[in-house]
Amino acid sequence: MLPKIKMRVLLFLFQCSTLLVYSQKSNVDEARARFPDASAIYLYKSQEFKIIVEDGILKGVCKVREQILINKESGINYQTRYVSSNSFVEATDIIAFTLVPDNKKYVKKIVEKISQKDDPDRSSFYDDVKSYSVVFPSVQVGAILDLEYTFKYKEPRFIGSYYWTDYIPVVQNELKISTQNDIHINYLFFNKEVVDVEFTKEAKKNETIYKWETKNVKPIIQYSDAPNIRYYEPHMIFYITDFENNKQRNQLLGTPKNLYSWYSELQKNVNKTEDKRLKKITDSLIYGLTDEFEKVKKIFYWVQDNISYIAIEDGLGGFIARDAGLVCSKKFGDCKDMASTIHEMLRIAGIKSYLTWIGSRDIPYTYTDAPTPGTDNHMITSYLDKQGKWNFLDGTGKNAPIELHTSFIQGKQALIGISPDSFLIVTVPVKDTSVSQTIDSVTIDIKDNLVTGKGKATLTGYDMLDYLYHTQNLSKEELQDHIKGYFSKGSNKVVFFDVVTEPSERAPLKISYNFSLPNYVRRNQNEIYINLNMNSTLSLEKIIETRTTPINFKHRTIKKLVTVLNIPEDYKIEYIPKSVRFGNEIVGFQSTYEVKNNKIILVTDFYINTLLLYAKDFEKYNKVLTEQVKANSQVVSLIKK
Amino acid sequence: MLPKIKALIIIGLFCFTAVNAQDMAYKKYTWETDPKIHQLSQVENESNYIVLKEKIMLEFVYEASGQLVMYETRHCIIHFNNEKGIEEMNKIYVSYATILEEMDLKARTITSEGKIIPLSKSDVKKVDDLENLGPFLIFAMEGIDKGGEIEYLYTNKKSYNKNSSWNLQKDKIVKDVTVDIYSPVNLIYEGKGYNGFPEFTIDTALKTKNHLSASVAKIEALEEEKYSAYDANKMRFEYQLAYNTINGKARLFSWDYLGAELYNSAFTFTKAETKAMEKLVAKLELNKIKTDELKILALEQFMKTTINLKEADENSTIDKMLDIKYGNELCLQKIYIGIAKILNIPVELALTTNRMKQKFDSNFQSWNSLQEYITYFPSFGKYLSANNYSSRLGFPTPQHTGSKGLFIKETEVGDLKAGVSKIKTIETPSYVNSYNNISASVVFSEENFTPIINLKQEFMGYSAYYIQPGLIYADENQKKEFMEGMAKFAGKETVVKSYEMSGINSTDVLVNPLVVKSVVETPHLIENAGNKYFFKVGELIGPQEELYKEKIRQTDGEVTYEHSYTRLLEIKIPQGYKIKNPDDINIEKKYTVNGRVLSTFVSNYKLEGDILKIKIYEDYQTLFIPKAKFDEYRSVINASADFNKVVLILEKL
Repeated sequence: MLPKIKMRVLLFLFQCSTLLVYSQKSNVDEARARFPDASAIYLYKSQEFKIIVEDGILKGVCKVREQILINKESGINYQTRYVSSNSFVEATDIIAFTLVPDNKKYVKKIVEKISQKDDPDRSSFYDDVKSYSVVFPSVQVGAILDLEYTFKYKEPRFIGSYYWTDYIPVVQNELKISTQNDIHINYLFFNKEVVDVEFTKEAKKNETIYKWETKNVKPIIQYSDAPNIRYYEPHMIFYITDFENNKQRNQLLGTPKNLYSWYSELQKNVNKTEDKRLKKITDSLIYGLTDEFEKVKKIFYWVQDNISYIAIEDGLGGFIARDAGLVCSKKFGDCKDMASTIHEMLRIAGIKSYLTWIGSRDIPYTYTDAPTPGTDNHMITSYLDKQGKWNFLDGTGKNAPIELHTSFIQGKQALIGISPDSFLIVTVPVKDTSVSQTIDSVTIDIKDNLVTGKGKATLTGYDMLDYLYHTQNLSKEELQDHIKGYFSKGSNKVVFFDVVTEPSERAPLKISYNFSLPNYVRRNQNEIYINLNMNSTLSLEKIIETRTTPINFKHRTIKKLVTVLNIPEDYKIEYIPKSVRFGNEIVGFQSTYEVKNNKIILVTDFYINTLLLYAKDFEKYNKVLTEQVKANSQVVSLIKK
Repeated sequence: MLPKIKALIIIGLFCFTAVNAQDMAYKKYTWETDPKIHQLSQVENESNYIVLKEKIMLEFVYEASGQLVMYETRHCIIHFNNEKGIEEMNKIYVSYATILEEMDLKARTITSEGKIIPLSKSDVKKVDDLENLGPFLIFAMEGIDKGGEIEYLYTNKKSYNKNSSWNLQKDKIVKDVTVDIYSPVNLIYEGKGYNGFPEFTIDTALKTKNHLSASVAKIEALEEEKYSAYDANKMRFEYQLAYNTINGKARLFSWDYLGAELYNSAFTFTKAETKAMEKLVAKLELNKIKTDELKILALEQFMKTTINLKEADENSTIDKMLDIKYGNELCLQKIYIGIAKILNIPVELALTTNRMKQKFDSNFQSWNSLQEYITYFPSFGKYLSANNYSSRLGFPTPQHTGSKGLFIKETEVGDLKAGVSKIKTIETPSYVNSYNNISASVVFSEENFTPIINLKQEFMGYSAYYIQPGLIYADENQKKEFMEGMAKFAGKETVVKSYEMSGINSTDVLVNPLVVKSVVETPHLIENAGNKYFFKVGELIGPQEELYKEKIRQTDGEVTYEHSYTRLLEIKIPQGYKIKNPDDINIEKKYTVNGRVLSTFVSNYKLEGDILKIKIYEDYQTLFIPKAKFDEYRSVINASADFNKVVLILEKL
C-alpha cells in the first residue's frame, strides 16, 4: 500500500468565490511552473475563524478549506486525507471533491464515502480522538483535491494555531479571524523571518477582522535530529483574552493568572477525601524517617516504581488529574495522575507540595508570552526543600534520582499552583554538562593478533537514565548488541563478555566488562600499530552546508574515554601521536597521550554543552569534528626491542 | 486470519435443532472462585512474565434461525515477575472483529498477597480501529504488582469461521495450553498442529456434538533468531471445516472448490469491465509492444503509479476502479487476468502464504494456506504481485516465493470454460538478478593523504526492492538526503563532494538498476603513525554484519530472497609508497550442501603498475539453511565482516 501522508496540522475556511479563482488554468500553470519538482501543491489553504458570543456563550467556529493540486505521480499519495476531531473540537460539514482535468476544463467528482473511526494517539492507551478519512476519487496528475469542513470549538480556550509552511508548497495561504468588537484576541508569531506575511486589520461596525496572508511558500526541509517543528516553522498562536457578556467583562486567557484559574478550577475536586489505603502506604513508607527530604524521596520513588504509565484520555479527563487513591489501587495512570498521587501522599505525610503544569521541550512557548493550554502538555509535582530549592517531581521519570528532573522539561517554565488563586512561574534549570557523563576506562593487552581488554564504565545523570531506558526490555542478544554499540571497541568483531551491571538505585551506573577484539592490531615485521581511539560511537557527521534548521540534543553531556595500553614486554614505543585539544563553548574534545610505567594512556573527552545548536554555530561545530576525525586517525607504533 | 477471498458458500446450513444454550461448553466452564498465586520454578521466575494458562474453546452452533455462529472462549492467566513484565502485559486487547454479541467478559488481578481486584466493566473501552487492525475491546488491568497475576476469561459470539490459525508460542513460557473445538454433529471440523503442537483427538464418546481437543503442558519460550522465519516456526494449530454430513461425503471447501469459485470471481468479467479493459489496452497501446512480458510490465507500471489499493466497496468493478483510480485487492488481481486474456497471454492466479509467517501445507486442505495472491505468466515464466506497490513483474513479494502455492487457470472443455487448480512451486528469482554492486576508484590527496573516491553503487532486483520503489515518491530534498546517505555509506565522517543518481523513474523500478554515483573524501579511512599510512580499504564495502554464535541454533535459517554482490575497487598507490600487506585481501569462504556451493565470499587482487585492483564477490543462492549447517553459512556472512576490517599498510619505498 502507498504510504499514508497525514495532515500535519489541523488545517482550515473559505469563500465560494475563491473556488473558481484558484482552480483556473492560469493559476495552475503558474503554480506548476513555480514548483516543478513538488509532488503536490496547495493552491489554496485557509482557516477562517468566527468568534462570537451567542446566548451568553462564547463560541468559536472555524471553516477550513484546502485545494491540493497533484503535480506528479508521487502526489497521488494525497488521495486520502484525514480530518481529526475530539471531544473539544468537533468536525462537521465535510465536503470534498476532485476536479478531474478533462481537456481544458475540469470535471467535478464528489467524494461519496467519508468514514470515521477512533484514532488514538500512539502515546496514549485510549483517547477520544476520532478521525474522518476522505478518499478522493480519480486522483491523477493535474487533478485538484478540494476539501472543506468546519470545526466547532466546544472549549474556546483551545483556539488556535496556524502554520504557514507545510510538506508541500503553498501558493495562497490565509488565516482570517473575525470577532465581535467586544471580544479581544491576542496573537504571537514564531519564526516569522522565514516568510513574508501580509497583515490587515479591519474594524467594522460590529466585528473586527484580522487577516494574514502568504504567497508561494516553499516547504522547510525536515531533519530527524531537529527539534519540534514549532522551533523553526513559521506559525502563529492566537487566543481569546476577554469578552463581554451581559455588559460584564469576562477574562478567558491572556495572562498566566487567567490560565491558572481555569486549571485550578478543573482540579478543585481532586483528592477531596483521604484514601485509607493510600494513608496506610504513605505511613509505612515514611515510618521511622525524620528528615523531610528523605520522606519526599521515599514517596516520590514509590510512585515512580509502582505506578505504570497508561494514559486514558477522555474529554476533560485529559485535563483533570484522577484521585490519588484510585491511581494507587489501579497502579497505573498518566502524568497528571502520578502528579496527583505524589501530591496527595506528601500531604498525608504532612509535607507541602504543589501541582504543577509544564510543557515539554517540544513546545518552545512560555507562560509569560503565551498563557494558553497550548503551552503545556505535562503535569508534575513541585516541592520546595528546606534550602529553598525547587524540586520537580515527575512520576513518569523512571529510575531518576530526585535531583534529576526529567530531561524533557529542562529550561521550561513551570506553572506551580500554590493555592486556588495563587501560583508561581519558575524556570526549571538546564542541567550542567558535568551532570551527565559516560566515563569508559579500559586497559588493553596485545597478544598475537588479539586485543583483550577489561573495561569499567560509569554513567551519570541523563546518560545513565538513557542507558537504563534503552536496555530495560532487551533480550540477552539485543543487550550484547546494545553494549557493542554503546561501548564500541574498534570494530564489530569485538566480543563483550562478563558484563556486570552493578545494582544501583538511582545512583551512578557502574558497568564492568571484558572484551576481545580480533584483527584490530596491525603487524608489520617487527612493528605493531594500534589506534587507541577505539570507540566510534560519537557521531562525527558534519552538518551539511545548506541546512538551516537547528539540531536538538536531549541533554548536555560529556563522554570520556580512557584507554590504557600495556606495552608488550619485548616492545618499545616507536611513535606516539601528539595530544590535541580543540573546542569552543558549545562543543569540543581533547585527546591526551601519556606514557607511564610501560603503559600508554590515552584520555579523550568530548562534550556537548547545549540543548539546541543553531545554524549560526554549525561552522564551529563542523570545525571541531574535522579536528576530531584527524585526532582519531592517529596510530601508536611499537617496535621490537 | 481470514483468507482474502470472498466466495459465496452454501454449506447446507439447514438445521433442525438449535442447540440448547445450557449445553454449550462455555456455560459449563468457569474460573476458580478462590484463585491462589502459582508457585514458579527458578527458570520460570527469571522471565519477565509467564503465561500459566491458555485455554481456547471454540464452539460452532446453529442458532434458532438456522444460522451457524461461533462462540469463542479464551481463558488466560499471566504471572508477573517484575515491573517490565507488568508494563508489557497490563493492557489487554480483545479483537472485536466479527463479534455478533459479547456474552461474557471478566478479568481480575490477584496481587502477590492474594488480594483479588476485579475488572470493572466501565473500564473496558471499545476502539473502532486500533492501528489499522480493526475494532478492539481494550482494558488495562489494575493493581498488578510483582509476583502478582492477572486472569481473564471471555466469551464472544462471532460470525463462524470456516478456518483459522492460532499461534500459541511466544518469547515467554506458556503453560497449560488446551484447545477444544465443538461443532454440531453434522459439521466436521479438522484440526492440525504445527511445529510440535500435538495432533487433535476426537472425542468419540460424545454423541450430541463433535469435539476435537489437543493440549500441551508447556510450550517453551522461542526467542527470535537472526536469519530465521520466526513466526513460521512458532507452535500453532489450524482448523478447517471439512464436511457437512447432511450434504454427503464430499469435502467442503476443498481446494478444487476454491479454484472453481475463484475462477468465477477472478476470471470472468462483465461487459462493462471488458469494455473498460479494452479501452485501457488501446490507451496504453499494449498491442504495439513487442513481447508479452513487456506488455504485462507496461500494464503493471500504469497500474502501480495510477491506481491505488483501498478496501473500497466489496462489489468494486474494474470499470469503476479505472474511473475512481482506486480499487480493492480482488479488482487489482482481476485486471491483469482480464487484460492478459484480451491479449491472449496465458495467465494463472496462485494462492500461497507469506512463508516467513506460515508455511504452505499441501497436505492439509485448509484455507489458511491460501492467503496471498500471486499472478503467474507461464509463457514467459514470471510472477507478479498486483497489490504490492514495491514489487514488479519478475520480482513479486519475495516472501510469497520459494514455496508451494495453489495455481488456478482456465481450461476449455468444448465450449465450456472452467477453472482448474493444481499445487506447484512458486520459484524464487535467482541471486544473479538481485545484486548490489560497487565500483570505486581511490586516489590519495598529495597534501595529506586523504582518500578521494569515485564511487558507483548499483542496486537491482530484490537488492533494490526496499529502496528504489520508494524513491519515485520522494521529493527533491528526500532524494538529496538519500544520495548523501548513500555517498556516506563508508562512514558518516565522509565529506561528500558531488552525487548523481539514475534509475528513479517509475518505469525503472526493478527493471533498470538504481545507480548512485558520488565523489567523496574519506579522511577517517586513512590513519597514520608518523609517516606510515594505513588505508582502511575494507570499509569501502560498507558496514558488514558480524554474526556471533552465542547459543546453539534453535531454528533453521531462512532468508527473504537470494542475492549477490560484486565490488571492484581500484586504488592508486601514491608515488614513493608500496603496500606492505596486499595478501590480507585474499579471503575465501564457501557454504556447500551436497557438493553444491550455495554461498560464496571471495576477495582477491591484482597489481597493475601502481594500481591495485581488488575484486570482492559474494552471493547467497539459497533461501533455506538447515540449522545443522548454519555455522558454515555464518562463516560466509562473517567473511565479508572480515574483509571489512582489512587495512592496507602504505610504507615509504
